[in-house]
Amino acid sequence: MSYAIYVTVVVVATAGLVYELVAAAAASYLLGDSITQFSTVIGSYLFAMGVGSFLSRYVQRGLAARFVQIEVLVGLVGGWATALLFVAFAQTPHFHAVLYGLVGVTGVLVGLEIPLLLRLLRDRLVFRELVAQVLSLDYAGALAASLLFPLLLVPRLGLIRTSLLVGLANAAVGLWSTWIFRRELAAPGFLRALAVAAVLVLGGGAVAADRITTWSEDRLYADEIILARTSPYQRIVLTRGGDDLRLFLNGHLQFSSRDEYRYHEALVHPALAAHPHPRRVLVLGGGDGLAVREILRYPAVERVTLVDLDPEMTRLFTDNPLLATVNAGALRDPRVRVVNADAFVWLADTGERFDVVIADFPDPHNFSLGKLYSRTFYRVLRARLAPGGLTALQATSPMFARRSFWCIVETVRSAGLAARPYHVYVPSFGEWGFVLAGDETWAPPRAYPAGLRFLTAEATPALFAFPPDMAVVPVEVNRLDNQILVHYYGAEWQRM
Amino acid sequence: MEGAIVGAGHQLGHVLREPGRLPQPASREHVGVVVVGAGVAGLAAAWHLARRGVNDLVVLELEDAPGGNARSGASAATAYPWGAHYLPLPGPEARGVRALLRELGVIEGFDRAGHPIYDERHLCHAPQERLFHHGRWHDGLFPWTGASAEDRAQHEAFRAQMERYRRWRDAEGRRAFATPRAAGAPGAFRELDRMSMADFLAAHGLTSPRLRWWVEYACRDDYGTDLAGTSAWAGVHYYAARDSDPAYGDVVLTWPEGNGWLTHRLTEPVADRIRLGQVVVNVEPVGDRVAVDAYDARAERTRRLLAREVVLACPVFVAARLYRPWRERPPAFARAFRYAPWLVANLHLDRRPSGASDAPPAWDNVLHDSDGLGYVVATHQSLRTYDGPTVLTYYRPFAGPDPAGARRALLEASWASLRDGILRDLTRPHPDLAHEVRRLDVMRYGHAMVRPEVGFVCGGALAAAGAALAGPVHLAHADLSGFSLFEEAFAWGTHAAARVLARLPRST
Repeated sequence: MSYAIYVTVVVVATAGLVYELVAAAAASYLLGDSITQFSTVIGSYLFAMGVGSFLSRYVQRGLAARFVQIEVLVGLVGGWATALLFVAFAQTPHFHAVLYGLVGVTGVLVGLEIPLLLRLLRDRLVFRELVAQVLSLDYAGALAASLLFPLLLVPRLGLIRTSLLVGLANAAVGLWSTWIFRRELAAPGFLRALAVAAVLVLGGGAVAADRITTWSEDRLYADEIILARTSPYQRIVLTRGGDDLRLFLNGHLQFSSRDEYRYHEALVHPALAAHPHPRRVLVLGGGDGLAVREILRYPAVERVTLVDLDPEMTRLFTDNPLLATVNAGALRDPRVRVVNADAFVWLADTGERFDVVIADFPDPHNFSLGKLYSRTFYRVLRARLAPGGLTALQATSPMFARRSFWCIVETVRSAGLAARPYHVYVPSFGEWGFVLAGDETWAPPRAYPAGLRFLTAEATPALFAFPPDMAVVPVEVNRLDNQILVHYYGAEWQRM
Repeated sequence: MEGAIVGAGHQLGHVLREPGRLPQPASREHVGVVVVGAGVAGLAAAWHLARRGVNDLVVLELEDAPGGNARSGASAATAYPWGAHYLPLPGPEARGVRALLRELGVIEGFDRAGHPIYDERHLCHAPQERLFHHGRWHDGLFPWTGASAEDRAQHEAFRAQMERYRRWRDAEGRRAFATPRAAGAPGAFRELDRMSMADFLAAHGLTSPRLRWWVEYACRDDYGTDLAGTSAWAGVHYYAARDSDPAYGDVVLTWPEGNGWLTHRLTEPVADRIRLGQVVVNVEPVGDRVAVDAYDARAERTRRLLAREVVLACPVFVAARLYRPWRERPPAFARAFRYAPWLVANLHLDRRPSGASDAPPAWDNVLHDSDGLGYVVATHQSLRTYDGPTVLTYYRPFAGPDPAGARRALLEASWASLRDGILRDLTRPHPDLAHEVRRLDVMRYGHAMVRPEVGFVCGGALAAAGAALAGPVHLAHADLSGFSLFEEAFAWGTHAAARVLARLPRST
């Protein structure tokens, strides 16, 4: 048998296994839990190959043309599969459907290859020789794939480019098969053109892969980036390091899935558990839905309104399967209404009043965000509290941004609210501060809902005591016309 | 990039040059009070009268919108100014303005010491201003970067000198330099009017180019004149008439539509009595009434209003053409009033312009080496926290010694040449601006404001103009203070309204 055919078989076999490995790797990369992902993807792929082999009986004529077409198709589908998976992860809630759909289609096509090849080569070799050679080359190709994939392809090229290059190889096989099987082909010209087009599309994709995946932040983040989106308002990046999922907005850490429960329990429960009937709750910011998850533990809550500027963020945390597990599907709860609007403008315009308002804004690192911590903002907020209403807000770190923290406390007080600052240790942030405020007197809750992992009624009063290294310092009130908080914050974080 | 020259007021106003070509009055109307001009002075007069129950009142305005130098516009994204864009915090002498602000809720109340407490939303949000100098943005307005010890010493000396003028009081406790002028000691330091601000600085040995630039910026910004063209009295007044507020410092009051916010509030009680697009061509006493002939540009008809009292709330050069006795025998003082041409442009962008961002974007963005004054950002006062569509308002006075020549050139220039000049100026800090601007509109003011020239501000002409009319025709305009400020226009408007009220029979 000619060398061209040997090479064809090896390439086809290698590619077949690479697609399988890439799909499993991408799935475990994005969803975590590699044992499950590898197992299910490989199983489904092999099953699909079986289906493909079964379907080969229906190919009765024009075997050579069919083979070329299958090669081109495998190249295109398998080649673009990984890029499609990453896009689907970011864009749709139906990631599993896309994953198993792609695995299925690729598997079926690959499953068609060997049976068709055996039938095409039937006349060139004695049957027992043919079977022995083709299958041994097939398994040799599998070995090559299993070695090349972890040692060369993924480290050097990354998942998306690997997939495209291997697809390119398949399309190239399609192209030279039009020469190998030229005697069996009726219209080689058309098929060649098809193969050339596929080669170009895949080649172009491989070259432009950098623009498909803008992983330039890889240098800035400690862990692997699994998602990066630029919305009109901010850059959203999700990284994974082992179990730990971290969300960064414009490069600033918002939460780490390992310890975010400490932050969110501390933000929500001291206010919510102390209110006798928290029916209407407002969350400003917090588009990740994590505060909402805590709020939904209260059966008294009838309606939660979440106001977050970025629809991209709230959509991601509503639809994405991974993120929806982190916030326990909070944003899909029927009691929750998501509003995408600017918090300050919305708050100033709304006529509604709320029993509890939770403000989970990013830290005041620029003048735009500084407005959300101004006296005017807190006065507007106060006007939206129902009688007996309470508000809890995140107030940066009393450890690392001590003047900023106490400036926020003082500003809340200057708006006419009784402010009670407290702090909590969150490993990925350090010591973090909050302010509980309202018109009425507040007493620490006597009980919290079941299932909290950090907060207890006995430990709550201790949160309100500040050691000397975090105690109050003299500060000015933050006003729109001085924006003093942004200046404090900038100076304090620079010192870090 | 789209855009146009907006505001055709000068074409309409020039109709006054040939009053004979207009149709004779076709109808008559009897009115109690007619206010000619819906600028700040006219609106202040109308507001004052309306609040005291004078309803038989008509305001006639040339342009298609009220506001005068405080006009504004609006896009889908934001309102924006076409003229004056801020109001300094009024001191205790500006009683009328403080009362207005109190009524509008801008002043929420007064503290124990009697100082006003402002609603923060009306105060200019920080950061207020920044300067583009040596290729970078710097906080504040004074060009400190690279300043020598001598520059700093002279700045301090100038500041100390202005402080002395600020503190001066006469025997009755009045300031020398007050806002409004009428609250100050008359004739105090009038010798300063005999020299220009340039001479004043030279006389005090203040030669630092940075200091001179900074002072000249102030003169161009408020008066539309350069150092040589500004009377030292007016130059000193800029600094000495303003006290730094103990609680708020030097912050100003501003709104997305600039002072248009204030004029909109002033029009509210009289909205149905303001007639726009009216060219008043003649004002003359007829029997015991005053006839006001107004040409309606759209209807192409002239109407005669017969009023008991008329307030001419228009610039002196316009009043000299309207008021028949002055048209026939031009008063000597009219010649002393000279006016500065200005250009204001509004640039519509999808987001703040890119470019050097060393200092965070401020409300007022000033370019150091420029004939223009820089630009303000209309969305700066917005409560929203993200960077969205915005409007930049660019100001350029023609402050040189030949305002008439500059005026002619301005009115003859095409939109394209004006646009190019503006972009040339602004592309220094924002190189990509030409691609980021969606729309650029230009408004030209041939006679934007009276020039406070040497010998004029404390001169006889100004005094004569102020005393010339005592009713039934009254003159009310910032011109009569020698420079164009909201507080002055407001004071003259309310003063005229008070005199009108005193003269009207009780029944009106």
